[in-house]
Amino acid sequence: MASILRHHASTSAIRPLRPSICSRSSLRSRGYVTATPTTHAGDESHHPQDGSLEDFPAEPDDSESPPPPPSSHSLPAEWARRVHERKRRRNLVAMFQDMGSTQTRETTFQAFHTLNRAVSPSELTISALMAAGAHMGHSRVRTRPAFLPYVYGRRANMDIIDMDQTLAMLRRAASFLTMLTEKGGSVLWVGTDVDGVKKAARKASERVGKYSYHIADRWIPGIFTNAGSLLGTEIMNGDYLPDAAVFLNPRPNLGALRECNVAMVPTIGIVDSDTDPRIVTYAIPANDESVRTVELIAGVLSVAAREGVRRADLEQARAEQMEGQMEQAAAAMERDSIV
Amino acid sequence: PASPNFFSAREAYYAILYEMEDLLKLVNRRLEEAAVLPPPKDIARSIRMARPAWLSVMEFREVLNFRMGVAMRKRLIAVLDELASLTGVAQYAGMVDLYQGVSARIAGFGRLKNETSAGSRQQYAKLDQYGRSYGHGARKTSTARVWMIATDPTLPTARPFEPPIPISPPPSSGPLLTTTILVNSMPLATYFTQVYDREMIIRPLRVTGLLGAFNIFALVQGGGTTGQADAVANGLARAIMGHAPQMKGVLSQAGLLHRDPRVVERKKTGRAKAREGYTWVKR
Repeated sequence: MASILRHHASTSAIRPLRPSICSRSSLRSRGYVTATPTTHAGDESHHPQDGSLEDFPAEPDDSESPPPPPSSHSLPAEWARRVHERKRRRNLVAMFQDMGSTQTRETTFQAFHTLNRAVSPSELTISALMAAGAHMGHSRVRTRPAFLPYVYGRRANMDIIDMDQTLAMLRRAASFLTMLTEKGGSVLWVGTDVDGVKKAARKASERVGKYSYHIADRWIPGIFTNAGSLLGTEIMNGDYLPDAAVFLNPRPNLGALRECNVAMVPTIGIVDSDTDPRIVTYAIPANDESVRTVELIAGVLSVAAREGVRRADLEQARAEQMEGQMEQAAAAMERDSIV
Repeated sequence: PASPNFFSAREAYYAILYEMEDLLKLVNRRLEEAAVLPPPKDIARSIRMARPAWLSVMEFREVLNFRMGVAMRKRLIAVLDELASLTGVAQYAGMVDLYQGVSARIAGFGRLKNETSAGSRQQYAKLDQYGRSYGHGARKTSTARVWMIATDPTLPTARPFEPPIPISPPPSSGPLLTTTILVNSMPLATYFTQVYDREMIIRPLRVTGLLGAFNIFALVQGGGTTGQADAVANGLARAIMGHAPQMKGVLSQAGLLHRDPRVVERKKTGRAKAREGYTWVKR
């Protein structure tokens, strides 16, 4: 394992000069409407911004449109004063934003980036894994003997997981998922017990989109083996099982893993040093107790699965185009032969 | 399978839950960008008090057509409460479109009232066809059933009601109204000879200032004198709630709505009584 101890540099951020939560450019890029900043600090006129219509789409940033008419139900004085003060402060910040540090909220690492900004398997680095704390295992007392091949060493009485192997195995699992979804397979993402893990499972499933399912909260026992009574008998006619299951924390879901084995569904799982890596088909040795690690790995796997879906769609589009061309050629030939 | 929540075996529930969570995020964002959050304390309090009554577990099961657990409902209600409070903020702030849109969506899960419900969840007994309210009280091993009827239905203390069966008007008793109390068909003074017991029974009426406004009929059984008196008082307080629910604060502060849970402690082995031990012998 390369001795990269500079992982702290990617996470520690120099505090920006001003909080950039409400910088005009950042808000606009996210589709929010911002009040036009004024040069006067004491701006008296403001209009309460109405929400938008039926589907609540994000309003386009058209600050040139006329302000909405003042509603009949006006704010109480104290509240109106506070709203005005907040807007004034935001405008002030927006005014000076560009003169401040170049390190802003956009450019520095934020806690939600591991969940929302997923990286692809080829872009993932060992330093990113270590920054998320993926290398931290348990004490030797808790380490399973079957996990020892993946342990790099010991530090402060804690086993350190070998990140070289982790990265390789993660990439292998990712390429498996890509091939699976390229052939039209479905993936089930399982994340239970911890809020962050549940969110990661749901986010991963949404990122892949098509043919992707997730279980947050609880694996109902028998969902594979007793599907007829739990999910309805009509689904037994079709092929309802997913083609792969990704367990973001396999240790509390041993029953689920057993069901997957019985149903012959290949499994991918993040195994920590206190778990036997043989319970899953494709093990990813990493720290499953760190929410950031789980988010990172779920993000990588979901990006890989999404890539497979993208390739499949591309292939299908190409095939349809070819078919269309061939039909045209055949029709042309027929016309020629008739003539 | 079409839905991403298919393997959770609770598709309908998660569909609604996630929809509500996303709506909550959206409303939060809109209110943040309008700078109206957080609202001042008094407005926040009045919004919180106007929390609507959501559907019960049974009603949810009928609506969603599958078995929903109490914990599942609790999680959904937490999100709905948050949505309701933000909707209240939007309403106060004049963001009419947002308020109406979100209210329309969450209205299906409960009644969105504007008046303060003030935590009055208990269904108080209605008046029956003769205008009587009923209360049940207990103390130690005594149980009491108490019926109350207004001495003069025209008084404001009597809750107005429409009798389906026409009742003859009560005899006008003059300027001074008196409460007649019958316990097990006997006058109060005959049944409860001790002044202390009689005062215990009248205490709910004294505390609420309703002496003379109601006539009371009670059936009590079990236990001894004091237990029966306290049981009648407890039942009487609950019967008052049927006629005058606004007295809840006064009565509960006086402790009259509380059913005293103290009972005689059982005797234990190795002891003479519940606590008393046998005489200690040195050898």
